Amino acid sequence: MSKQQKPKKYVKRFSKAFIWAHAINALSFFALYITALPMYTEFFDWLYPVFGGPAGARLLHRIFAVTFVLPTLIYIIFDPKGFLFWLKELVTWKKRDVDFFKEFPKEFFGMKAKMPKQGFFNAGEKINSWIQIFTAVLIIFSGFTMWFPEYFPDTVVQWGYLLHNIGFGLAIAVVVGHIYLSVLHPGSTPAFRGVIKGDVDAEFAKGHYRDWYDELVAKGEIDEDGDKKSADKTA
Amino acid sequence: MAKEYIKYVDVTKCDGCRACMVACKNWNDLPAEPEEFQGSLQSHAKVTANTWNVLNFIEHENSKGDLEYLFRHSSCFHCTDAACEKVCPEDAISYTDFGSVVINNDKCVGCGYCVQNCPFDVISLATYKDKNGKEYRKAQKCTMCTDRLEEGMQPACVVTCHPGAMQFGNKEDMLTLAEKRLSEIKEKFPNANIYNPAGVGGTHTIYVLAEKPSVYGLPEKPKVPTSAVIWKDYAQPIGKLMLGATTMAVMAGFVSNKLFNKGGHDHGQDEEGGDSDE
Amino acid sequence: MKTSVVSNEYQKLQEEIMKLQEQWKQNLNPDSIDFRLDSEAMKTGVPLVALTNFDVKFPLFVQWVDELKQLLMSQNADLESQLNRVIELIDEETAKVWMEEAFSFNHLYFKKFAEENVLDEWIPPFLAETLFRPYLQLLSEKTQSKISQAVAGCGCPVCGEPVRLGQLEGKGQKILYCPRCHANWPEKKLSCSHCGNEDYEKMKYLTVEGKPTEQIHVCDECKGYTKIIDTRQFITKPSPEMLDLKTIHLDYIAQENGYMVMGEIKK
Repeated sequence: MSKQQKPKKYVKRFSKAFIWAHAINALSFFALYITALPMYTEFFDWLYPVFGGPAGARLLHRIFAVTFVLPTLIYIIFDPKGFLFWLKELVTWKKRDVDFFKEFPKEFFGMKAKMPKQGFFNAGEKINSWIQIFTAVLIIFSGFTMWFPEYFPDTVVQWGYLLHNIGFGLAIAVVVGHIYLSVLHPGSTPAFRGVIKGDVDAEFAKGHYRDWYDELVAKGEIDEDGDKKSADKTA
Repeated sequence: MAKEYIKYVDVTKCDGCRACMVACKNWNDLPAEPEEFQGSLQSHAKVTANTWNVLNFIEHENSKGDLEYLFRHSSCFHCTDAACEKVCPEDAISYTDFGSVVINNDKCVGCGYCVQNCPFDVISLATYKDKNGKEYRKAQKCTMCTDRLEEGMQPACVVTCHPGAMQFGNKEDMLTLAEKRLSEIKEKFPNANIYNPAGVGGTHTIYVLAEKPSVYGLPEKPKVPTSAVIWKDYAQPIGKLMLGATTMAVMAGFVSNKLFNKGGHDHGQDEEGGDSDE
Repeated sequence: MKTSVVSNEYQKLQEEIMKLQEQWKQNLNPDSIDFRLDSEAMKTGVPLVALTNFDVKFPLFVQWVDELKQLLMSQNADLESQLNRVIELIDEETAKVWMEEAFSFNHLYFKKFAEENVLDEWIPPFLAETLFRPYLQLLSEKTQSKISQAVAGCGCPVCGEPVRLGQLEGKGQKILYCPRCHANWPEKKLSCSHCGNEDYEKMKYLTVEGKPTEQIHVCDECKGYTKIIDTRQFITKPSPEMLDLKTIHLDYIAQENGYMVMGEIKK
């Protein structure tokens, strides 16, 4: 980045609905994590007073449980096209996606990697999406049984505890990697801008999502250098 | 040091006087819970957070077609493998040397996991108010009068039982008594059995029942829920391990990026030095 | 009982001594005591022990002293020289005198014996009493079935020890127990063991908060008291000695409230 002195050009990547949905999802996830942490490990018992005692922690956990369910609805209602596109991308797997994982470890640890050209979502993002969808379903449905045990048979509630735990365990493990790659991994700042402002550095897009970039060029939305052709300046 | 004890309940000697319920309330200082008429002599539908034992009255038609009135003193079983102890996220439930299972009220956060996982449905949450009027919950159940055991005294319910339907003593002695009693009543009650379920490793409240457990509303084969075993013995440890592993990987990644990639990330050259997730 | 004002070490020592005494009693020849169950005399309050001859075998006596010495030294090695001196001093005649004086609680005799032989004052009466008890306990064991009452104010019908301890049994019956010889006998619940008072307005129960098994029956007629323990609530019943020892706090409470071990016996 620092080498390039010419003014940066940006290409639109995410809709407002996606940005909001993503942010609410992230904040809710984090809040749910923090409010449940003292129950997960006694090491964090000191968090109880912070939330106004166990009862307070339970109340907050339920409030954030509701906000955790919202993003999907926001995405569907305000950007149905984007939502469908996302789902379509998730079920589209090509050779480039499989090859991605051969190079990813090198990339992850900062060694020279020869990444295959990726589409709008790279294979790692797809996997992340899949796991988050799967775990969210697990967590939300098992959470229901835990919240309203009186409406479910005992066995369902008992399995609910297990599934909630598994769902959460998987989700948090993946989220750690996800946040690292977006915030700390060198070269991540352009990607991070994508989920905050909605657009990314054209050079970055070209480097990381070459197939998508080429598509944009082919559609005539940008030219080879990343200049926007359309008047659409808003993200 | 302390001995393992068992509370042995011989339901065939019980006359349904409910003195055990009174003794329990009295010793444990539990508030009265007035109830509507339940349709029988039974006062409460089941044990609650403030009523740790309830005398069950069961109208049963035996194999000869005769009506039998069955009584059962019901309270916590004090399992050897207690599901409540297993699922408690705060280590608030523990075993004593006497064999009783007790809740540490200071540690309990009132999450109710124990309530949902008890195979006998004998734990409940009590709601209290602190001095600011804020409500909080604590799980409550029979303690086997562990505070009395510590003083060398028998549980209050046992001491008060006038027909001698309850006895308290060394585990082996009580098991022997139960066996002996079973052989005595087998003729009169062909379905009689000793209720000391193996699925929870045996219990520290054992019964000689005149009829099958289900007649008394007891599970025939209670056990620690499989979900609880997977949850606590596998899912949670593995989950913590995974969180640890990804955290370690991320830290390693961060460090190695600093090492291999001092000049910053040069992306977007002729080919991709592609980054991945965002 | 887990909580007791008596230290664990002391309780353990007491239990060890009792174990020894039980062994000694088992090894006693039943014929070594010769008693005369004179019910007329006993009705007037004469303890059975006064109607009994004890055949104290000297070699046995010496053996017991030695065993007791070993036990005491395991707790306090400094006692060795004094205990050895006792063993040197004792001959067959002294042994007989000791038993007799123990029987009659003659503390003056033992005090003098200690002074003359430069022994700690507690040693001679302690040894004598400890060695005499197996005989008393054998006596009460053999006659327990015949002991069904006592005369108020005259103490244990077998050994004459003042009454201070009872237990509730069965449906709440008061059974008095002698911590010295283990004899037991029933008594009316509302009756003073020391003066026989049955005026319910002058009999009171003192209780300790949080101790549901403990009562002190006190009599405002003679100012006497008796500790009554509901051992039916216990998981295991302790021996009368241990029960007496572990409830020593009740003696303090009674005495601090102006009551006395034997009461002011009114003739």
